[in-house]
Amino acid sequence: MAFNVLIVDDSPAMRKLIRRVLMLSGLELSQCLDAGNGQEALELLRAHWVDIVLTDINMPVMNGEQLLKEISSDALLETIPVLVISTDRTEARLQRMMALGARDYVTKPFLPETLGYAMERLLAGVRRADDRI
Amino acid sequence: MQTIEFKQSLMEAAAEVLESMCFLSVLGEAAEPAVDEEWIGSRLQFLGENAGSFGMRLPVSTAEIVAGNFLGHSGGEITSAQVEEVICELSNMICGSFLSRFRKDAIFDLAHPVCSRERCGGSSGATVQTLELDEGLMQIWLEFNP
Repeated sequence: MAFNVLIVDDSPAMRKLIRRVLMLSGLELSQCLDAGNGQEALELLRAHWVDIVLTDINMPVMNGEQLLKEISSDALLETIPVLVISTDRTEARLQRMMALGARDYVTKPFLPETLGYAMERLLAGVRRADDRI
Repeated sequence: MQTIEFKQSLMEAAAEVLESMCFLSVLGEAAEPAVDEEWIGSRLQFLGENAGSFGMRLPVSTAEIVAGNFLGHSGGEITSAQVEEVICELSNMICGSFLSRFRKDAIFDLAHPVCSRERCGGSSGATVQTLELDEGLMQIWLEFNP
C-alpha cells in the first residue's frame, strides 16, 4: 500500500529535506505534495486524497496551529493524522499541539531515522484503519 | 543565565543543528574573522516571554558547503537562492534550539528569517560568537529587546 503525504513548511529548503528523508526512509509513497503555509495545505487537502500531513508551526498566512484547528473541525479531514515538525521543543508547545489534534511531534533538528520511525508509527495506524474498511 | 553559559548554550545549539542537518562539526570558538571575503547571513526576530533577535553569517564559500550538505547536493549544482533558503532555515533552527534551552517552560514565536549579504550583526548589546567549523567559520549573535 502506497501513501500520499503532504509536507507543510514555509521553508522550501526544509520541504526539500523532508521529502528527501522520506524518499530514503524506504516508506512506500505514491505522492508527496507540499505547501508553504496552512492555507495552501487546506486547499490541497480539499482537492487530493492525503494519508498523512507533516506540518511546521511558524508560517505566514496560516500557521500550524490554525491548520490543526481547521483539520480537526472538518468532518472530511479530521481523521487524517498530523505530524508536527518544529524547532520548538518546549513541553508547553508540545502539549498545546497534541491537544489540538496532532498525533505526534518531532523537533528540528532531527535525525532522518527519528522522522522515519514517527512516520512508520503513524502509517501503521492508517494501514489498520484501511484494513477495517 | 551567566554570559559564559549563555555563549555555551548558543554554541551547543549551533553544533546540534549543524551536526544533525549538515554533517558538520563545531570545533570551538574562533577569533573575530578578517573582512576579506563575501559573507552571507540571515536574521530573525522572536516573540514570547523574552523577545529579541537572532542572526548568523558565514563566508559564501562555507555557506555553499553547508547548503550542499543540507540538501544532499554533491558539488557545483547549488544556486544562490538555495543557499539563502538553507541559511534562513538553519538560523530558524539554531534560534529555536537555543530558546528551548534558555526557557524550557516558555513558548516563543519565531518570525520568518530574512537573508542578507550585508553585515548583519546585532547592536552593541548582542552576544556574538565566532565558531570554527570543520569547513570554515560561522558567526552567530543573539540579543534580547530591552
